[in-house]
Amino acid sequence: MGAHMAGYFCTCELTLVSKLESLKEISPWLKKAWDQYKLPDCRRFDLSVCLYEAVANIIMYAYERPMGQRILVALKVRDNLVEITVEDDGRPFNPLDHPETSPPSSICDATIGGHGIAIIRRLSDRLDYERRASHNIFTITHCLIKSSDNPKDYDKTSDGN
Amino acid sequence: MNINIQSVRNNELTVVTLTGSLDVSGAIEIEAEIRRVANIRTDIAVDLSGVTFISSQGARVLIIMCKAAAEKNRMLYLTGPKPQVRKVLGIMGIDKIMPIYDTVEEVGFPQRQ
Repeated sequence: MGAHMAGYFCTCELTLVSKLESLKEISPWLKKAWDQYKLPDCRRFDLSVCLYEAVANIIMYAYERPMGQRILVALKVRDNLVEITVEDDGRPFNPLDHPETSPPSSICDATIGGHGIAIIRRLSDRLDYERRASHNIFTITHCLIKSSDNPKDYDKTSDGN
Repeated sequence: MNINIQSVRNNELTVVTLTGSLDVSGAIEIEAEIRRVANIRTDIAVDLSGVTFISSQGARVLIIMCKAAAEKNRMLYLTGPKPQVRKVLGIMGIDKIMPIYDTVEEVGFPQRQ
């Protein structure tokens, strides 16, 4: 786990190699951070899915020639907020510019790809994007506790990949 | 293996049981079996009760199976997804195009729609 930063309750960092096998590292890393800082489990699944989708997008689309590029992930917790920042040096891509998808009306209309950003949008509370020094910096923010949280909707056996 | 797939044919219904993580790697691991099942000429019930994680790339195998079933005028049902998995299916609109039941038993003797 990384060093603490001023103003944040905790900061954890993960460096991933840009290849599909790296996706398996996400859930154990997130669980370790969750357990270490005793964060409420009810948000972990949503955040795990968002992070997985964001990193998978980078691995599959950010690089014309994947050659072991690095993807940096940082988790920061402050008050009731958890922020996940994903940084890569691939081609510029602002997820916030990605058009909203509408649900299919029939199986004929159902598209096989293109749902990752929609899932991130719906499962997060705030998204920020910045292109800085040839890097994409994408931040996904979740409120740890929401008044709408229903414990019945949370299953402890679902803990990510 | 992060995911396991078992399929059992019972007259007019083939029950496909997925267990584990239905993500990019999981989808790749089960692709061959998914394509085999997709060619079966029965209705299909996909039991998701053992699926602990789902991503958009993983869920695409459900769309592939459903499209194949529709081409044969067959139905594809989903059963038993955990609440978080069901939420992801809802975001993708999959719950609008595939009937979702709590258990495989509830699918019973499906009626063609």
